[in-house]
Amino acid sequence: MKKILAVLFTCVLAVLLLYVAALLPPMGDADNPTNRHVVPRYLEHGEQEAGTRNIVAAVVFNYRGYDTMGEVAIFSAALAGTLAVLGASRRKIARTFIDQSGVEFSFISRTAVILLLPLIILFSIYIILYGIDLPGGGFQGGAIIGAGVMIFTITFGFSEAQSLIPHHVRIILESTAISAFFVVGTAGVIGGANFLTYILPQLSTQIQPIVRDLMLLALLFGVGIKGGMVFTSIFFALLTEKETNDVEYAP
Amino acid sequence: MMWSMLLDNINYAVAMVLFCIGFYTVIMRSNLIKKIIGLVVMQVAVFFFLVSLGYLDEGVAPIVVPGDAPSPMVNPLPQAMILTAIVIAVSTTALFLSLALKFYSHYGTLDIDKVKEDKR
Repeated sequence: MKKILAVLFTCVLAVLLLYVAALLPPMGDADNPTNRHVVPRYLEHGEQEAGTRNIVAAVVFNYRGYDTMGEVAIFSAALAGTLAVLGASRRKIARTFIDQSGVEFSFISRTAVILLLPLIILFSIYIILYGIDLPGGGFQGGAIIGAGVMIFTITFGFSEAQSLIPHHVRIILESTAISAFFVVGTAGVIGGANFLTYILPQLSTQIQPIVRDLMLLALLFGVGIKGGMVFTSIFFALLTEKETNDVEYAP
Repeated sequence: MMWSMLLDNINYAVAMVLFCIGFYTVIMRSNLIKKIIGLVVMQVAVFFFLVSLGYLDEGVAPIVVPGDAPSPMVNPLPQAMILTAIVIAVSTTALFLSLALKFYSHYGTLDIDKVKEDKR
């Protein structure tokens, strides 16, 4: 009975949504409402106003900088929630399934990871640095850093990875994004403009673009490092959780 | 008439169907992990829909190439939104999964219906 109702409800929902999808303006038309209003301004003046050739980065860090700051805060909140649920004290416990497993990773995969890891970190720095002018940016670079740490952890075990990036280092690095947003935003206020404007009116016009690029780079690196560390912390927290088989509730 | 309009907006239609699949999974499955999978499918459907909204016929990536004649660029706004939303989605999924882990360590099962029956 419940199943029939659910199928019926989902079908009605699907028909309604498909009806709406059919009535939307045709996809890919330049005259669509989504492609008018603010978007032409982003595309035409983005390079000049934000100082980046990558318009997506201009939208993320300049036009919609407040949104990105809020999203970074949500990111921190989600990490805090994960650690609160799983128990922060368990972060220090170094017994995990990877460490307990009797099967050692082969010499070949260990060597491959050692050779690859510097390249992965280098690639992530490249992605972050070129976020200004090419596809890339802080979030993507952070994801690559996190992936590198995960590969290392799976191959060498949790205790090894824990000693590579200790807990107290991660705590500091996890706050880089918020700090970068705060410093860059306040620099705009000190310069006499608004929060997060990347403008210091006192400077001459020659130095201005360089300062703006440096501010943007600080934000990109802050977001990148923070992203990588948050992924690492979530991964470590999920790894260390399974400690006992005690079931507190007996049905 | 309606059918050809739907075929024009095939990306939107696929996103809607994907959303319904995720929705059905969330309401029908009693296993928590499957519910989370359904939620993630719904998230992906929304991302897909929003990115498709920014699509432009014969548009290029929104990156200004110096010296190039201005060609139509796709809408950068949904891309910027989804870029951050994906990262948020990963971290919130981790939160869901950690809650599921806690649920399992407390009740010894991931099945919500079983727990409900035992409560009675």
